[in-house]
Amino acid sequence: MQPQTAHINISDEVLIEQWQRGDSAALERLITKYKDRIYSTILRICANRDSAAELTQDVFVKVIENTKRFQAKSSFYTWCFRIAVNVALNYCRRQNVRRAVSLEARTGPDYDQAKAALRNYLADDSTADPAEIVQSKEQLELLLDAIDELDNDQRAVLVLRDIQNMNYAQIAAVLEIELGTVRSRLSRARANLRQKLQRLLQ
Amino acid sequence: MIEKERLDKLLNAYMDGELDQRRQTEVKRLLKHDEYVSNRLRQLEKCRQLVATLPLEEAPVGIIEDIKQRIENQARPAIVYQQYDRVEGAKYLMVRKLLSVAAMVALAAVLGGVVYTIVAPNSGSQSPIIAQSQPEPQLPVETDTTVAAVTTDKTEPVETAPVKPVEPAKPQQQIFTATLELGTVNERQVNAFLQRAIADNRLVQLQLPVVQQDRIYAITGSSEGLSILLADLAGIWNQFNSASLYVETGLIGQKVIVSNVTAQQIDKIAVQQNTDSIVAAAKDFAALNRISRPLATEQLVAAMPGEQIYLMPIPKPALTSNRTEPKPTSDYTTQEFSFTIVISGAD
Repeated sequence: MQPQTAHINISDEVLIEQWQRGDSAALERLITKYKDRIYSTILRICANRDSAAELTQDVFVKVIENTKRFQAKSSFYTWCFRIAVNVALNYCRRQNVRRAVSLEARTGPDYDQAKAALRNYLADDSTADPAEIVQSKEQLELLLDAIDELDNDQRAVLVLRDIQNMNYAQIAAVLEIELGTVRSRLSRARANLRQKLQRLLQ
Repeated sequence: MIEKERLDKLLNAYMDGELDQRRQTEVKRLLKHDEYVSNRLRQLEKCRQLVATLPLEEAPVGIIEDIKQRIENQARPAIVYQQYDRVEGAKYLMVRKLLSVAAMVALAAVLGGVVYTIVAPNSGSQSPIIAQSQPEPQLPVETDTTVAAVTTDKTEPVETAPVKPVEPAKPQQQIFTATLELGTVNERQVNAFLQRAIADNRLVQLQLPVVQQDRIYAITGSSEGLSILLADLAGIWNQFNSASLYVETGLIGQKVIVSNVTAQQIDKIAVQQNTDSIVAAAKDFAALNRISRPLATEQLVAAMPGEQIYLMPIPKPALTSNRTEPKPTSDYTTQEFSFTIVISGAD
């Protein structure tokens, strides 16, 4: 993970330098490089595809507008994700109510099977493959519903750690919080997610 | 509860590889000897793996084009406008600098002109301030009709300065300035003649604020006009029992008095080209008249039989056609002399 980040930073610096010299192709490469990660992060935080697409554009526009002011105190990767998480969290705060669908609304045979599969997975003695869980649309929706129920800050930490594979230091840099706060939030986020899933699957 | 939270934090950090070697060893020992801890770790691990297996969503197709479009709509124009504004701003600053320099030069020129106007020396004839600051000569009070006779006995002209009327402003070309005192017993006729002569010759008669305005004529005009007036006066010169001319020398309080002056002499003095010549001619005539004063003209003629006396009568213009005699054109702007005639009589 660390070598990958270092590799990204070096490439980003070169691309930014080229973009600042007027190379529009460098800008396009930067967008191409990060668009899926940024979009996915925003989507997992705000849980709305249309809004995530719009917010992703906002992020890159902000990045471009502020590129000349960007200084290499932090990596472009960290700076870019900081903008993305802030944009997504601001959107969530403005929306107030994130999703209209409650956990109990998922009913029907398919969801019953999905819940059973998830209960089996979460059992202590289960050895089910988590990759098979998310293959099912219903199981995926139930999982996303549980994630959406999390507090905004806990969800952001969870997304950055478990989906974007950032280490604690990177998360602290992106969210501009202390390392201990990252540990606490992440610990509560995982514990809460398990509780919400268990409540859902009862 | 607190212990459970601390345990979760420790296990999550262990799970994410965020513990140092010593703590990792401690956690491993706990996991080996404590079933609750190992079960809790499995629960957290399942939860982490579940989230980690979420698929990485791809951004919508065309998002790059949308971003580029927004950049073109927002960022590019801003850059262009910024560059345009920079160029226009530089031009504006340059224009402002030039205008500032021009304004400073203009201001310096105006101030220089004002200072020069204040401190630069002015010619006496052009400066009303200096002219007014000059002390006026002592003016004697006109008492009787024998002024000319009295003044002829004087040797110092300053002591016998005549009444000085208000003089007109001296134009630049003015040279001859004098006062003529004429004594007569036919004052009314002389006044009428003079007024008519002045009007006919279109000389400029200045307004005089004195009481005896009808006796004092302050006139100005061209040399030709003065010559014609003097020619007219020569025709009635025998009406005057005294005639004294006070010629200004240009020095304050100093005049040259020509007693028993004749119209011809006045004309000769007046036609001189500069003040020195005028003063010199006046002095010559003054000396000549003092010598010849006891002798009347008739006596001179009688004393010089056979000799032609050249008193140089001034020829008057004569009509040569039926056309109305053209009077000399009045050039009111020409002021080549300032001549004051004082008529004193015994009414």
